[in-house]
Amino acid sequence: MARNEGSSACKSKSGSGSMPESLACYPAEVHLLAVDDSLINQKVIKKLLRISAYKVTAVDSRRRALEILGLSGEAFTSVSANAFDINLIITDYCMPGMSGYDLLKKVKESSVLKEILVVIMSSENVPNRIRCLDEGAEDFLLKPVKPTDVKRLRGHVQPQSTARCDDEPEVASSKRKSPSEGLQGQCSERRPRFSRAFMS
Amino acid sequence: MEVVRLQQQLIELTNSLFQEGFLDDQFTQLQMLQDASNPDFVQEVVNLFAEDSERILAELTKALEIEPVDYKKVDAYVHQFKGSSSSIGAQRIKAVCVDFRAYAEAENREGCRQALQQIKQEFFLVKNKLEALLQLEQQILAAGGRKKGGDGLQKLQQADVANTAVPFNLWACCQQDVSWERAATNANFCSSCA
Repeated sequence: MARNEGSSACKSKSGSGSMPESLACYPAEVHLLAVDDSLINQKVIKKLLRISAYKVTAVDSRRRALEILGLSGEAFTSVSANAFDINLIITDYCMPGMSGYDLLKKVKESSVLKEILVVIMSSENVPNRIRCLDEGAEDFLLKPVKPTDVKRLRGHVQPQSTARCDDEPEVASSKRKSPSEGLQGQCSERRPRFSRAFMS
Repeated sequence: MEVVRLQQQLIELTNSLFQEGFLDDQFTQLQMLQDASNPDFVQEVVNLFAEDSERILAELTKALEIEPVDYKKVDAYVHQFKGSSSSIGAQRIKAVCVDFRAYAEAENREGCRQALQQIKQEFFLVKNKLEALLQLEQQILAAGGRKKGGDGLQKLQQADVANTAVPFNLWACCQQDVSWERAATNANFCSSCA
């Protein structure tokens, strides 16, 4: 993966309070949150994503995912929200308790977190896919997830530019408008199943 | 030479696992994910799968013994099992899970019981074969040979950037370089050794 010189992977995020763990110098400065209640799936997904040089945090429940995102417990503040600086959430659709769909909705309803990309994994195709894409999911992957699917993810998450260090949602979205990646769903060959543009 | 004999055994076992439908391409994907930073990846996944499966099978046995049967619970367990067996590439187990779910949906207790029996058989079969496969790999390593797999995806990733084909790996059988394309055809061993 191309390294971004000047990227602030080694600096802590400005203004977002103390980082619970220091980010290693990942070239892409991309942090993924994987949510799956199956330990096996977690392990495989983590491996698949890490081999693509992403930083991955894996959790086994929506509840834990929401904690990491700063959405659980008392009303979150902008300091705690997304303190781990998650760029993309990849979650199983079907899980006991809150489903991946519910997590997707919660993220998209949050003014601070709605910019985070959400990708759903499911063993069932229709009608789950339509539902999730309509709710704002970036992509929908059929399980078991393959390396080619992970390659597709790369197209969704741009390696962070230096501007990302400012930690502003507007900067993140303007980054995504980069024509080379076509993240607004223009790149039809990459995502033939994408039914609507990410930015509503 | 010991290594060659062991490798031949490994080839035969692996081929039979794929030909008899015990494993599918997903297992190959897992082998390709194994690399220097995690040289026991496949072993770890297999261990996790074995533990998880034993737990689910015990729950399913219990669930089908109580009166009345909670078919939603049964279905949920089978769905879990289908998911994990699909992640490891245990094709035959996945197929029985599909039938099992149909029986659960139809609330057919006898059908569920039979499916459970079948799943148990399939699970023990594939577990033993996988253990034998992994053991052979360990023996080959100990005898001075090489493990197949590893680094393939990283090379693919680099190749993407450079836009050139790169050698994916060395065949375990004869240590020849192979291209990504050939590896992706799901052949585990080169044609001259297979």
